[in-house]
Amino acid sequence: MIRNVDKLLLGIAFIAFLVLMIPVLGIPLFGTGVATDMIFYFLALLCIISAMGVVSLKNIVHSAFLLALTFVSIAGIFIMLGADFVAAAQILLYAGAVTIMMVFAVMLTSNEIKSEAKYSIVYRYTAFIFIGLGLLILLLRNIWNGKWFFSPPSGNVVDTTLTIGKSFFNEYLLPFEVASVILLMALIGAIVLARKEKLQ
Amino acid sequence: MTVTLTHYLTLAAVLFCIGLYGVIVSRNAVRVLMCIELLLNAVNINFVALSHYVTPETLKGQIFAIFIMTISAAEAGVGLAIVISIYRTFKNIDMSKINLLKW
Repeated sequence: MIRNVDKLLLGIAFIAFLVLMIPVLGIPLFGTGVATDMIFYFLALLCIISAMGVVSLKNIVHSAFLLALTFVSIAGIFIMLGADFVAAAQILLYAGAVTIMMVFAVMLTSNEIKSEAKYSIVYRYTAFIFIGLGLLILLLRNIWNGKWFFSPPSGNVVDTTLTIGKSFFNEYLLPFEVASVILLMALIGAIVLARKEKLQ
Repeated sequence: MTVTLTHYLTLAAVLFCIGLYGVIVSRNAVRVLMCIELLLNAVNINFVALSHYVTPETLKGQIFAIFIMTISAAEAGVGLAIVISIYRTFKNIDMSKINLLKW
């Protein structure tokens, strides 16, 4: 099982590459119709399968790389939703920075990366019943039965980067500044926490 | 079947449940942090989808998604620093063995 994971990862990456090549090959990506739906279902499937891999694979390094694959497919979904700036930030922040940080943490901490101890099977099945069945059914029932009042997507395309930038410096100026202070606090806090204790 | 808002919300719900299950059953602290990132991403999908379908002109959901990304980057940094610090103390990052504050 573990030996085949590398090949599986390679296959998934190859398929992802093929999908990214679709606009190059001339298939209309964002037209209405079957192609858009197929791409959505493919991205959703890729996202869910790789997320399951993150949870369930034994080797945590494989989990880290599958996490990057999840982030990239979520970025694809953002592009389908017309959120190109958020998709670019997703790839930069998550697939770039967070994944590398996870791999660094694995390198600095784990003494047995090949396998880790698991909780008892009763515990895991109880968690699965409550989360995987209970919470999921509850959420899906509300999503599919709910009445969603949304405006039909208008034809005019909004310049997302311009709109987001203007909003940041007008409406959301205070949260923007607070976010910068939070990042500074996280930087200093991480350095203080991860620093070695002072030698006597 | 044409892709609508409910499809995106369904995807986000499934992803959220996978992440929450991972947070509960993982014993490796780094894997728990990875699953927390999955949770935040599921929420981000919800925000961007609702932004696309409800407020396509003002993009409020996308702005909120960017704030969530900022906070989650800070959270990941501090969380991994805590994990490294715990590893120095216990020589272990097994979640069930870090029990100084339990009776």
